[in-house]
Amino acid sequence: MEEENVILSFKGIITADLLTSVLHLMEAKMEKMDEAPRTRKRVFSILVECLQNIYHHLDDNATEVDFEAHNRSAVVLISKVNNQFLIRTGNCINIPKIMDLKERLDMINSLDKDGLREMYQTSLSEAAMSPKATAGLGMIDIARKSGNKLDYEFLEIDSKIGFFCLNILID
Amino acid sequence: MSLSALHISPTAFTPEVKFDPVAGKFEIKGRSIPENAHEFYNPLIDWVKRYSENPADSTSVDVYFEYLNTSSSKSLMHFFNAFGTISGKDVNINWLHEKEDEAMKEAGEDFNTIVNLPFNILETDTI
Repeated sequence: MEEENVILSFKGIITADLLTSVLHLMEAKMEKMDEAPRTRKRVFSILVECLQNIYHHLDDNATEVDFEAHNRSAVVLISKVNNQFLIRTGNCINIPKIMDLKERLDMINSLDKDGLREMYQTSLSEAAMSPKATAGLGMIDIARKSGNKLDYEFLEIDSKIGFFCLNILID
Repeated sequence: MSLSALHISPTAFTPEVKFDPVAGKFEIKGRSIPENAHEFYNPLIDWVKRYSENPADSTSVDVYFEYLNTSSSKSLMHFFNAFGTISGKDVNINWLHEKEDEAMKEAGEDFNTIVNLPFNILETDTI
């Protein structure tokens, strides 16, 4: 039978201060858990990328029209399912942005370990060429570190706003 | 005008920084996971650019991370590249990682592939 223990969850507006608090809290919680340092490190680094990804994404969206304040909130749930860590996140996204993100996620999911390394290195060297380019490094990093495919879903809230759900199972 | 030594204390999200322009010794050590890494690294990159105009005979850069986010990795590319303008003098980058920290070793290998400077990946004891 599947057993799930929730370690940490929250729902609300994502601010820089909240990110900091969640990371501190998660680190303190994991220190009390009987986990290999390797696992702890991996879960923490993936969480950092997830939260910062959402934060930057919502920050970008905020400058766009039609993105109301209540759409700046997100949900995050960290749990342990049958001995594996699972990080689930959900946040609003402007409908026109979905296509690009879906394409990038499918691209990442189509690659094996070596392919991901190559994609990461290319994106990192491109990022060094133009200071503005984000090149989606965060998602590639999450896929590499988790050792699993990025499980995602897009839901439609209305004609303009969608909801992006991402589930990351950590090996 | 010559640069004076730089020391920045570590925080929960940013690393310790020690730059000694006379000895040509650079050290960045600890956690680097700020959400806006360029705010932290841009002043350091400017510092290195000024140093590179009049560098020591030999420059060694030791970096040793416990955690490193992708925002910092992007800034690190610019940081390493800033040493690239030094010519005719030794520059060595040493990427140190904790024993058995495969993720940090891999991160070093990523940089080794991209960065165009003598780059050593070294195993070391706990920070």
